[in-house]
Amino acid sequence: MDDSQLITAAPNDDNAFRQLVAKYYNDMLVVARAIIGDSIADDVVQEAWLSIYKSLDKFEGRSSFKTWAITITANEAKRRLRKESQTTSLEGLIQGMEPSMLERYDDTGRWSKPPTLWHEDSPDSLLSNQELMDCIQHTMGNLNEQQRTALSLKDLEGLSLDEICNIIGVSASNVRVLIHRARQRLFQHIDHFQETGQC
Amino acid sequence: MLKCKEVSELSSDYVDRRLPWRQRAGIVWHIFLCVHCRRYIRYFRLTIFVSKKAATPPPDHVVDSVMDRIAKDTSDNPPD
Repeated sequence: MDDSQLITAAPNDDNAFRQLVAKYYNDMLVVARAIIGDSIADDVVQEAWLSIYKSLDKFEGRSSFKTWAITITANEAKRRLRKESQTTSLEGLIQGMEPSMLERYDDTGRWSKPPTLWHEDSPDSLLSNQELMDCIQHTMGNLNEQQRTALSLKDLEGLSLDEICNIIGVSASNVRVLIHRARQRLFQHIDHFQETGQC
Repeated sequence: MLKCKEVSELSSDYVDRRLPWRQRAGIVWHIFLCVHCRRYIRYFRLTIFVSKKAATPPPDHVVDSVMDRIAKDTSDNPPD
């Protein structure tokens, strides 16, 4: 069955609902983890599924089911974050470039510290280096909440900028900056790893 | 001609193909001439690729826990 058939059947068919959960749980978990961290992300996603179950009849198909489910998850995660008083302003501290990248250029805008020649410079060789992959996961985990959320939604979930704006609640230009800074930070860490062998 | 720093600032929009043609052409010309920026853009694309693959793997048995949660909520709060 495709999504529309599953959604139609789900209120009266547990098996159809289970298929939706199996299909989209992980996408929602990525978003919840990005916003609120690992410890209660699963709880947030389960709460989101409960909301979805109760409001399936309100789904009008104006966006894809995936976008709708992710939006509900993001709202639940932000609600929990506010409840736990960990929240920061979503519009805070957004600058154009990752600060550590700025140090790599001289006053004329040319490279003063150009990229290292990477020992592993193919997708396969990078992916096969477990230490590097651990380093990337560690770096992603250390991105600030806004950057991690924007990066996850764009590069992991493949959402459009408009969809990300609606979920995070910031302007398109700020979403672009958040994504760019997150990617540059990851680039910096991989470059450093290639140069020193350390994360 | 664009400076190396400007290429870096625009690199996400460049690889995501969100730049107007004139800026895109400016970057293409710059990286044709500049070995450091050519390397940077190549590695920047690799960064995006491997970051997608480094995402934390999902848990195995999650569907049952969601269904249990819904069943519990339904029994605790039966519909009118």
